[in-house]
Amino acid sequence: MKAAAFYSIKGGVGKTAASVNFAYLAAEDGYRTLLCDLDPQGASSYYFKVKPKTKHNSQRIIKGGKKLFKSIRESDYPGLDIIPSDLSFRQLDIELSEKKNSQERLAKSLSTFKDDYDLIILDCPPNITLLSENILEAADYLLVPMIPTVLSKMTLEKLLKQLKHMDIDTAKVYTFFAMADYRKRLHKEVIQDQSDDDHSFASIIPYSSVVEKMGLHRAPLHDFAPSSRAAAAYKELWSEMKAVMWK
Amino acid sequence: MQDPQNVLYRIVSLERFHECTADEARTTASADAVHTAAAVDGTYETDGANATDGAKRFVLEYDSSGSFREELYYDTFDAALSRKGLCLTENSRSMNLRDGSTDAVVASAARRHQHKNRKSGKHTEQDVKKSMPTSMRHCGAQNLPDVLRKHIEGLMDGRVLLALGAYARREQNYKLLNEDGKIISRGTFIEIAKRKTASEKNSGKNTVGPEIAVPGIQPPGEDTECEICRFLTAEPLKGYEKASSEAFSEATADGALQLVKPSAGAAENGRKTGSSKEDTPFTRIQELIGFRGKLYTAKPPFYILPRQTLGESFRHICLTLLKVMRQNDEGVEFSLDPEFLHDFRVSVRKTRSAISQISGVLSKKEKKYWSRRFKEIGDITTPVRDADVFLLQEERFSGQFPQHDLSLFFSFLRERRHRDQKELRSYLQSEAYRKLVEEWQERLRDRNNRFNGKHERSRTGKWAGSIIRKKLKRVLSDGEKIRKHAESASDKAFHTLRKDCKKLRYTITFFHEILNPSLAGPLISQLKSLQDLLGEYNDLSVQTRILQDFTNHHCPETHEGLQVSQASGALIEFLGERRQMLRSSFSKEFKHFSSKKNRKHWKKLFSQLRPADTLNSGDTEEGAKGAADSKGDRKGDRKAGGKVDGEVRA
Repeated sequence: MKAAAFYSIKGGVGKTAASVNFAYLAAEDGYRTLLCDLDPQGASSYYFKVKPKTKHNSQRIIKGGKKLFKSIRESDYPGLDIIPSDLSFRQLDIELSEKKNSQERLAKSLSTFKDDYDLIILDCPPNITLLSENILEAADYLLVPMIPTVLSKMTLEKLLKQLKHMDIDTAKVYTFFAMADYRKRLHKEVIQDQSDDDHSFASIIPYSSVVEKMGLHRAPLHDFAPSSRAAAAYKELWSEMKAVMWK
Repeated sequence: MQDPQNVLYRIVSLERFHECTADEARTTASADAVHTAAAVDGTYETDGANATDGAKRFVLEYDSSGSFREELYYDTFDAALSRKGLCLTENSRSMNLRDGSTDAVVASAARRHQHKNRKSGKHTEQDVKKSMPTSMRHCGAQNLPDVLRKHIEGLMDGRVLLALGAYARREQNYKLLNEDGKIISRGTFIEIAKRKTASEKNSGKNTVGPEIAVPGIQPPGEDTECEICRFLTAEPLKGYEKASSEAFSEATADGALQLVKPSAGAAENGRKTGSSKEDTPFTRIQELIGFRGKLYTAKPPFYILPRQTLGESFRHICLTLLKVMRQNDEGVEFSLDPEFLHDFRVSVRKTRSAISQISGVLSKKEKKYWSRRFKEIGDITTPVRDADVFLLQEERFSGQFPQHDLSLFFSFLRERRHRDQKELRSYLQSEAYRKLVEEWQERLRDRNNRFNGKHERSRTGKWAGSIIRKKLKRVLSDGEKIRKHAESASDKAFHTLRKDCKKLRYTITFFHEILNPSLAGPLISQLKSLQDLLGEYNDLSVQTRILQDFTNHHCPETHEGLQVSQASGALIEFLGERRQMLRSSFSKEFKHFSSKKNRKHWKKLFSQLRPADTLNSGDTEEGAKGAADSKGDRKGDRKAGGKVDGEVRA
């Protein structure tokens, strides 16, 4: 079982779109996939038309064990299950802080699924909190979407610094560019600048209105626009990710 | 993690499913005030107008493509799959093994394409469909696709699968969506109907259904009306089990679909027929092909009552055995699988045993006559059975001697079996066999025609013990002789003991109901273990004789022949070693069987025969007298008062 977190300190960089589309592609590829929506906004749950069963999912996430299975809901796509988010996730930080070994609770909870899933995708809320620290600890791969701007680069540096501070290996951080607009010179330059980085994927997700329509269709991109340019870019990027995760 | 369970419902309201194809959905829905058709073809949408307050909306969306296929239903002669609740069917595309209670597919294999397009050399769909009428009417485990074989070979126990009948199955998949458009359940509508296959319709002949009469199956006549049955399976998505169940309840309340659980059908059936069978596609298929539920069994119970006269018990035992014989003779004729011949031979042997062991029923003359007639049947079947036993071990022997090529020998054996089978077949089709069966049946059924034996009118309860005891005595004395000289005892002595054991076992079987089961059980299992040893010893002797006959008389004088001769030599040596091993272990096995503890058990068994409770004292005295008068039993019965051990030892 691998755990991959789509994480960024900055918001609005395409974490949820990436989580939803990569979860779909992984399941389509035959990997038993679980998408864990940790963002209280519940956007990825919304995309899959999934509502939480109860209002106390946060407690189950923290406690782990067999009860966590009760939070799972099957998506419309074979091989893809979801733990939907609910508003109780707002309190995850407080609830975590009240527990012992508060940084490792999520890692322990996810280990419950080690025989049931091949890949767990974590859709994370932005910012650095105790929950984020749990995610940084639990994930085998930290996949960081970046809009090709200076600000994104800055937040990445902050993340790396935080990891070093927590004594976590920064080698698990992989970046990719999303919402890239080739008409903008700045975007081109930033992408160019990053091209030598071993931990930066070569495939780039272009800015596309079809990605925004996911909310309208409430489905992954490949379900309603499989031949779009963005869908092809996600697919290429997924191939790169797969090669890294299952070397 | 547990996967959600497949739920099966029976559809009570018939109109909906019938009209719910993609093309018809809109028409039906617009004519129905309860349902409003969605814009998508094949979709029903409830608006909850007639439902109770707070009912949620849901949409049932049908797949545009459905299937309508003719299917064949398979099982073994003794309904081994049905007994395990499994349903094996085949259509033009696949062979499917389903769980009878849920209709869930346990294993499925695409059907082998039997026809090729002559021009292109490719298998086309049309060709596959064409192959349906020529579908196999029987099939051995070796011909099954691996995915199915691994599930059912063990259950088949060497028997072939017979195509027992045809029916039609219509399927249409659907999705159940909640108000967010999220799928909460997937499933299939199923329709099971009576159907003639295309070839039946063209030729007017019965091309499906078993080639032989199968016990428990009575194909429905041409004009039999069969209700079309509809079912629905629901496979709720993980986390939506409750929502799915609620949606179906609402649909039922709403009048959209009238659903009941299969067990409701059971209650309904129970009222009608007294059976408690659940109403599932499986039970409906069985109904359509004429499954009457009285399945074949090779060892039917005899239900002998202690108060019955010995003559009546004899009639009953022999008629039951004759029924098993008749049930199998067609299968022996067609040589469908070796079990038909095995069961046929066992029933013939048991009949011979009944004639000879239940003494005092038939007159001497009649006893001699019937013994000879049934021996004839036994003898004619022996060569085929001997070859079967050897051929069943072909794989094992070939594996044992990979350096030798035994194929020439086994081809010889197969040819010989073919020849002997032909002879057997013509005997079974002959007037002589037909007359024998009729004459025997007539003799047994005609109660006015008495048997004229001394003890025909004695109570069975009084005699059962004496009959069994007599056989036990023989086994113990013959066995003891061999045990003392196990290394030098002749094969004939082993063979005789084997026959003695069989007779003992059969007599126990005849009067099983009279014996105390808790005492008889352990003794039977010990006897069985002794029989296994003697049976294997006998098989090895027969096989050695066949091999010797082949090497001496039938082996070609070529280089190949020389090699095969060497191989048979090696096999004979191997069989000899195995026989020697069995001889060595015989003493231990027999010692255990004839131990003091066991003799005490036997004694207890005879002293606790059920008639003791049911007979009055006058009867008992008369019985003791009768037993004492009986020829050959005089000595045994005098000592039956409790000296079985001493008597046998003497």
